[in-house]
Amino acid sequence: MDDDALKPPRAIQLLDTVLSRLALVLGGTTLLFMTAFSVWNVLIMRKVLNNPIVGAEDLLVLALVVIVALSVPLGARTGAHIEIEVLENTMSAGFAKWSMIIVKILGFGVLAIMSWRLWHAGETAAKFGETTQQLLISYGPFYYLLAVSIGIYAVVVLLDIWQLIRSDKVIPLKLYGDTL
Amino acid sequence: VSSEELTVATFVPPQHHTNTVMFAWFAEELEARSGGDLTMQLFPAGQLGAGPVQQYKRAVEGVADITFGVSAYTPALFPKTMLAIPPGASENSAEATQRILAVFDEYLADEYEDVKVIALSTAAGIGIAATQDMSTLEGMGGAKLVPYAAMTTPIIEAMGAVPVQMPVSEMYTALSTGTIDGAYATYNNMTPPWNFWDVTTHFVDNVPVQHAVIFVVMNRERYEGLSDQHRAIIDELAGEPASMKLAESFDGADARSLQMMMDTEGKGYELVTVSDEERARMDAAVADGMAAIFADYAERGIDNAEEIYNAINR
Amino acid sequence: MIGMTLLGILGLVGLFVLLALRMPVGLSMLAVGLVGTVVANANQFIAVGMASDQAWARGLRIAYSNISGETFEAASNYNLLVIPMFVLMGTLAGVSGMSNDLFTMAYRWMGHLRGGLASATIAACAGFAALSGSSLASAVTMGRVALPEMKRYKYADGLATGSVAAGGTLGFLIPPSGGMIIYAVLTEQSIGRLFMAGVFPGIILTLLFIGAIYLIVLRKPEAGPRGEKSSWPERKASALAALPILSVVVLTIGGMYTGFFTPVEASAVGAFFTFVIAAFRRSLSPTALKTVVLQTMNATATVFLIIIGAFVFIPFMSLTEVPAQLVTLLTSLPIGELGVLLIIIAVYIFLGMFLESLAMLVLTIPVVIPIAIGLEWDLIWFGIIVVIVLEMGMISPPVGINVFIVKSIAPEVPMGTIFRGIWPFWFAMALMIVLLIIFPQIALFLPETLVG
Ligand code: NA
Ligand code: NA
Repeated sequence: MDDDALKPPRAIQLLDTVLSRLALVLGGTTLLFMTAFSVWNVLIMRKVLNNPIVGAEDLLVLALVVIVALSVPLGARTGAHIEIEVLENTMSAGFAKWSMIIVKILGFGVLAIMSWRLWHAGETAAKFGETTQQLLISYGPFYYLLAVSIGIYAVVVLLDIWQLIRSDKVIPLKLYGDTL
Repeated sequence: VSSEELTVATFVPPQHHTNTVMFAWFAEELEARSGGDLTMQLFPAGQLGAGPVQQYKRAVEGVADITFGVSAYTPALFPKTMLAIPPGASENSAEATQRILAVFDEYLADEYEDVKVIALSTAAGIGIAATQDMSTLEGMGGAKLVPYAAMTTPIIEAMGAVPVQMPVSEMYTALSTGTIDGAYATYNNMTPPWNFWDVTTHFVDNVPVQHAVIFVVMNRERYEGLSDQHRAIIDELAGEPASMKLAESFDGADARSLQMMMDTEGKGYELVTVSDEERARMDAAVADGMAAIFADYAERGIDNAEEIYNAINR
Repeated sequence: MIGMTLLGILGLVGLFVLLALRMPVGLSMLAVGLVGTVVANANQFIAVGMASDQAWARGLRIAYSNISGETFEAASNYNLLVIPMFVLMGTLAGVSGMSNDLFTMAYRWMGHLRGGLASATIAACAGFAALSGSSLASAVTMGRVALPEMKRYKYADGLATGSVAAGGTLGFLIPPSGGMIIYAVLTEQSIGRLFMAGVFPGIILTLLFIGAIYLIVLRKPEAGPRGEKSSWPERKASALAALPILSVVVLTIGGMYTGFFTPVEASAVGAFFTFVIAAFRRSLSPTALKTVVLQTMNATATVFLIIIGAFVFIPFMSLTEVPAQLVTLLTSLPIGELGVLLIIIAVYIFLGMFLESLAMLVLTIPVVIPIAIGLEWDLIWFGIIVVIVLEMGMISPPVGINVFIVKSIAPEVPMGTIFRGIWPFWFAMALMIVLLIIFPQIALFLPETLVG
C-alpha cells in the first residue's frame, strides 16, 4: 500500500515528520514523567514515607496541558477527531468535496479565533491570578502552548483544503500499527 | 425603567445552601425592591462555565453578571484577602465576615478594583474530623491532616501534623482507608451528603478555626450600566447585608448539621472539645506558623501581611 | 431579536448540519458554542435596552472569554489525567501480547464446551476490558487473537465475528472506561464511583453474552463446535501465564474499590505496572514504544477535542434554557418516570444506529442530564444505563464501529453476516438494561456500600 499516490504533498510530509517527532520525544517524555512521578509520589513518598510531594498535583496538571497541546494537532493529521460520516454515501462526489471545503474553511476560522484568544488569555493570565494552587506556577506559558497547538491545527486544516482542491482527497498520517 | 435580568453563576450544585439560601434571598430582594423590574437568573453547577478556578475572571469578562467563587483557588489574585484564612479571632463565618468588612476599605479594596463586590464571607472550618483523637498536640503529632487551604501548611506543620492536600470529594475515601488521619472540616462535612461521620472516630472542636474566604462579585461595566434606581438597589444589598446573609447561609447549614448530629444515634464517632490549656498550646503553634507565612508574603513583595492579619483579628 | 428558545433550537439544528457535513464533533460544538454565545448574550443585553453595537461587542467578549477559558479548564482538569494514563495502560497491554495470555487461559478452561471458543473470546474480552478504556481497542486486540482460532475450529462466521464485536464493547462498561470518564466529568460525578458501578453490570453482561452463545449453539450445534479438552497442567500453566495481567487488574480495580488509590492514582500505577510487565516480556521494541506513545496521544486528542467542544457548547445551551424547558415538557407528560426513561433509551438506541458513541455522549449529556436531575434519578445508575445503550449503538447497523473493526480484521466475512451475528448480543444488552431498571442495586451496590 506504500505507493506514491498514497503519500501527501512534500510540505505536508514534512509537517507530519515534525508533528510525530515532537509527539514521540516530548510526548513520550511527558507520559513517562506523568507515570513515574505519580507512582513515586503515591507509592513511595505518601504510602511509605508519609511525606507527599508538595505541589505534585500542580505538576501533573501542567503535564496534562502539555500532552493535550501536543496531541491535538497530531490527531488532526491522523484522523483522531471524530467525524460522523453517515451521510457521506448519499452525497455526490462534487457535493462531498465542496461541502467539505466549506466546512474546513469554517473550521479554520474557529480555530484561528481560538488560537488568538488563547494567546490573549496567556497575556492576561497574571492579571487574573491564573496559577497552580500550591506552587503558584503561572498558567501564562501554558495558554501560549495551547495557542500554538490550536494554531498548528488551524494550519493543518488549511493544508487539508489545499489537498482537497489539488487532488480531491485528504491523505492522513498513518500511525505505526493501527489507530485504536 | 426597563426591566433587567442579571445572570448569576455558581459552581456548586443546585441544592447547595449558597443557591437555596443566599441567592434565593438575593433574588427576592431584587424583585421586591424593584417591583419586579430587576430580577436574576441563577445558573448553578457550572452551567455557564466549568469549575471554580475561573469564577473571578468570568465576572470581570462578563461571562456572567455575578459570580460566586473561593479566593484560595486563585491565590495570586487575593493574597491580602487570604490573610483571613488562617486562625485568628474569628470562630465562625459571621465573626469572620464582620472582621473582613471592617478592614476592607483600608486594606483589601485594591484587590477588587475590576469588579463590584456584592459579598465577602467565609466558610469556617471549625473542627477536625479524624480517625484518632486530635484534641492535643500530642494527638496531632505525625498525623496526616488536610488543612482548609494550602496556605496554612506552615501552621499544620507547627502543630506537629503532616499537611496533605486533597479535594473534599476525596476525603471520605481517604479517611476510611487511612490515606489521611484527619481533615479540617465543618459539622456540615460530618452529615449527608459528605457523611464523614461514617468514617471517623472523632470530631474535635475548639481547634484554631481556619476559613475559606468566599466572594460574590459583579461585572463592573454591567453594574455601572444599570439605571440609577437599579444601581441603588444593588448598592443597598451589596456589602454588609449580602455578606452577612452569606455568613448566615454557611453558619445556618452548620447549625442544621450539628442538630442532625445530636439527633442521630448509632454513629461510631465522638465529639471531643479541646481543653482551654491545650487550645493555648495550639494557638502558640499557630503563631509560629504565622511567622513563616508572613516571611513567605514578604518574599512575594507584600511587607505588611502581619499588619493586615492583625487588623483583621483586632 | 429572537427568543432564547428559538435560538437554542437553531443552535441544535446548526450543530446537526455541521455534523452531517462531516465537521469533527469537537469542532462543530466549538463553532456553534462560539457563535451561539455571542448571539445569546447580545440578545439578552438588547432585551434589557442596551444599544445594539454595545450589546454585540459584549456578547463577543463573553464568547472570547469562554473559548479560551473553557479550553484551558478542560485541558487542565485534574480528573481528566486518567484519560492519557488509562489509554497508555491499554496500548501497553495491546502491544505486549497480554491479550494472547488472556485468551489462552480462557480457551484452556472453556474451549472444550460447545461454543467454548466464542465464550472464551467473551471472557478474554472482559479481562482485557479491565485494562483498556476503549471498546475499539478491545475488539481489535482480541479479534486478532480469537478470530483465527475460531476459523480453525470452523465456527460459523456470524458467531465468531459477533462475539468479538460484542465482547469488545465490554471495554466501555468494565472499568476503566473512556465513556464513563467523560460522563463523570460532564456531570460532576465521581469517576471512582462510576467505575465501581460498572463492575457488576460488566460481569453480568459477560455472563449474558456467554448465555446468548449457549442458546445459539443449542439451536445450531455446528455453529460452535467443541475444541480439545485441555489437561489440568495445561490449564494451570495458562492461568499462571495470565497471572501478571490479572494482578494489574486486581491492583487497579481493587485499589480503587478499597479506596487505596484514587482513580487518577490507580491509572498511573496501572500504566506503570503494565509497562513493567511488558518490559519483562521483552515486547517493548523501539517500534512498539513508538506505537504506544503515538496511539496514546492519538486517543488523547480524540477525547480532549470533544471535551473542549462540550465545555464551550454547554454554557450556550444553558443560556438558551432549552434543556430546562425540555425537562418541564417531559415531566408534564402523563407517562410517568418510566415512560420518560424509556423514551430517552429509545432515542439513544435510534441515534446509536448512526452516531459514534463518544460523540453521542457529549452531544446528548447537556440535554439529557437536566432531565435526569429533574426526575431525581441517581446519576451513577443513569450513567451505567447510558453506557450500555451506547454499547448497543457500537454494534447496531448501519454504523457499528465495532462491526467495522471486526470487518477490517476478517475482510472475507460479508458485513451482513457480521451484523446478523450481533443480534443475540444486542438483545443480551437490552436484557441487561431491563435488569438495571428493575434492580438498580446491580449498579449501585458497590459504590454505595464500599466506597461511600
Ligand atoms: Na474498560
Ligand atoms: Na450503530
